[in-house]
Order: sequence, then structure tokens, then C-alpha cells
Amino acid sequence: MGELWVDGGRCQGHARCWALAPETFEIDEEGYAHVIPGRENSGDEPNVRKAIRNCPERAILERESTEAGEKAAEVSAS
Amino acid sequence: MTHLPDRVAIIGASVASAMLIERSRELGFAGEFIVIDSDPNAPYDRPPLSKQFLLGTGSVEPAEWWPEATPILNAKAIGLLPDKRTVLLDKLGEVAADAVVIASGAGSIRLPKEPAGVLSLRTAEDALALRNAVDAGAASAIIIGAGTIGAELASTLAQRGLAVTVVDLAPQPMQRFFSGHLGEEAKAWMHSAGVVTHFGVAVESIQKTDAAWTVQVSGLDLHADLVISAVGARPNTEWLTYSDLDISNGVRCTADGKALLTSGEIADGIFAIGDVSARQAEDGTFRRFESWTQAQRHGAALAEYFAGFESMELEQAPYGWTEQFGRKVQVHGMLPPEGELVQVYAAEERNAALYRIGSAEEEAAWIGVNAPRQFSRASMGMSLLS
Repeated sequence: MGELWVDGGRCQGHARCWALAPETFEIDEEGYAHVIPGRENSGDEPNVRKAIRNCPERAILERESTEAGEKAAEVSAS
Repeated sequence: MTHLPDRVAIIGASVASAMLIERSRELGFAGEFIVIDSDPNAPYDRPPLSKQFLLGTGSVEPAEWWPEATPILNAKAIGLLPDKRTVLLDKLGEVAADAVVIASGAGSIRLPKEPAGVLSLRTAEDALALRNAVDAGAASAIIIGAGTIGAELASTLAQRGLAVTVVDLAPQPMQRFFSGHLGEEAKAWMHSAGVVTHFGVAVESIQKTDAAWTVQVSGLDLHADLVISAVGARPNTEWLTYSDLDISNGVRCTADGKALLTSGEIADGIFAIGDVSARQAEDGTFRRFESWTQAQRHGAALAEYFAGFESMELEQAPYGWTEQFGRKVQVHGMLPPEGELVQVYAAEERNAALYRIGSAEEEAAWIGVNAPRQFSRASMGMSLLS
């Protein structure tokens, strides 16, 4: 099981993940979601699985931890 | 008991079939999917076609949700032999499989005697033709039909600076999406963007005169550079005409998606998912849902059926959304046409509101406007506080 993240390019602000698994997802006023820091590894929890499957945009993704580190490094460098 | 086929033929590279493939692989399915679609742009996302795509300049992007390593055979399905589970193609012969999944979707309804040159919006090609017409300098448009697609188009074209007129036989915008509710509000959204509306009117004729179009509605002559027909969709079942499947209005299926023959018996190994499937409801009638979320659930539920466990996917309340005139509108549950809509939350500075219909909290249906936080909590049966 990899690290959870929400693809901001896909998320359209339905906010369903936050309603289903508020312990893992947070949203802004327009409904756009992100993973609460420290909760990236909660992908096995039933509520989170449900949230992943209920995202109309398929925007909740999982990636390998090493790749996650690299991507984070890319973002901070750009 | 599992019903795992080795080789599954899927007609249509849609959001329903993507979910079927993804969920099947998640459940350990190791067999083969053969996906057939005649649309050269497939797979792509349809919801942005009436919105972001018309505002932008780019090409239609391949859908990000299409499962990896799943090629699409670009051919047109022209027939089905249910007892042999064989799909006939216009080219490349035929495909025989252990299971055939019909996901051929729906296409635009065209008006009777609709002249050539009237635009519509369903495919990527339609959207490109419309965007090219606007880019070429069209200054005005008449949109026939004020369903969610017609209303979204009105919003987008008004945003692009066109003078937009919307006409519909229905008394209000999005009559079906809102089950007859919020009519005055939805009209006001249109009017605030300068869109002219004529509701409760019938189109009598559509004519092209010189460079412009004339649409006659209930004795009134309307003129514009473009005419767009957005009167609805009908299931893509022509290719099944001689298949012996029951295609009265979509592919008639059991509640869980097993296709029925004209005799009423189940066509063994033939399934239908998404907009094309007409599922039998508890009262015995067959209903089609034109819904993105429902299409995904059909796909996931069929994957779970193949894997042999009882799916809960189809037990969930319907969910739909539209974006228009600066508003994100979400609907949860089956809105009853009767009954009073109660506004339970409002924030006027950002055009936000939440409405409930039905008193028993568990069966209540909800409409949210620019209120994703309140809508999501309410529709999950939670308190509006926090």
C-alpha cells in the first residue's frame, strides 16, 4: 500500500472523500481536497477505501513511498 | 461462487467500463479485456466538453482514469450473437468472448427535420466543431433544450461573450435534474449572465437564412449565428437491432445488469452497464440513469459479481452534479417531484445554499449550491455544524 495523495488537477471539489473519511481528508471552502499531513499511510482503512471508490474524478491516488519522496522533492525544487 | 470469465469483450471505452476493469484487477482478475470503441478520441472525459474545453484551446486529452495497459480496438460493433457471446465488427472481423459487456452509452437526440449544420454536444468531435464555430467569430447562439448540458453550454458561451438564448418545452431549466424544483433560481442564474430564456415553448421550425439561423418558437422568430440542439440523449442500441436482446429503451437488464432477451429470459454471459442499460427497479419497471456516478457503480458492481461477492455498490443513493454560472451544484438522492424544498443553509456572499426535501433524515434528498462542505456532511447524514 502506497502513500495517499489527491491529484489537484483532477479534484473538482465534490468533497465526498472528506465526508466519508474526515480523519484522512481535509477540504477548502470550495470543496477541493488534500490528505491531512501524517495520514498518507491510511489507505488500508475501510473509510478511506470507500472514499477512494466514491471519488467521481478518480482523484485520490496512491504512490510508492520512494516515488512520493522524489515527487515531493521535485515540487519543492520548482 | 465466482463467475470469473477468462476473456471479456467490452463495447465502449467509457467511465463505466474503466471502473469494471480497474475494480476487476483490484480483485485479482487475471483474464483479458478486449475493449472496442469506434470513437477515434476514446477514452476521454465528457463532463469538461461543455465547460473547460470550450473555454480553452487545447485538444481533447485522453482520460486519466482509463486503466493502464488496456488497449482499445478502434472498430465499430455492428452486431451481437448472444448465444455465441460474439461481437461482430465493421472491420477486423469478430470477437468471441466468455462475457460481453455492453457499455455503448447514449447519443444526442436529433430533432425531427433538423437541418444539417445544427450543432450538438456529446462527443469530442461535436465539442471541437462547436468551439471552432465560436472561435470563427459566432456572436450569438440559440440553445434548444435547457437540461444540464444545455444550461452548462449557455453558461460557457455567455462567458465567451456570445448573446445566448435558451428555449425549452419544459417550464424551467434542468426540469429532470431538479425534479421540477429550483426553477426560479435556475432561471435567475441564467438571467444574471445575460442569457435570454423562453420556457414552455415548442420549436416550430429551424431555418438557415443567408449567414444566420432563424428558429421559430411558439410564433416567435429568434435569430442567431449558431443553433445548438441539446434536447437529450437516447441509448446507443442500433447495433443490437438483430441481436434478440430487449432494447425497448436501452438494453433491458436485471437490477444487477444481466441483459434480457426479447423472450424475457436472461442472455447468459451478456451484461450492460452505464447509460445504455435499463435496469429493472423493485416496482418492475425499467429505468435508465444518465449519470456518471451511476455508470461507475455499474462497472464496480459487475466486477464484484464476477469475483463472486455480494456488491453494495448499487445500494448507494444517486449522486449528480453540474457546474454553471459560477455555481457548483450537487444533488444527493432521488428528488421527489412533490413536496417542499427547505433551505437549510445560505451564504449569499458566495451564492451558496443547501436545500433539503423529505423529513426523515435518512431518506432526505439534498441539493447543494456552492456548498460542498455543508452538502457532503448533510448527505452523509451528519450534522451541519463544524
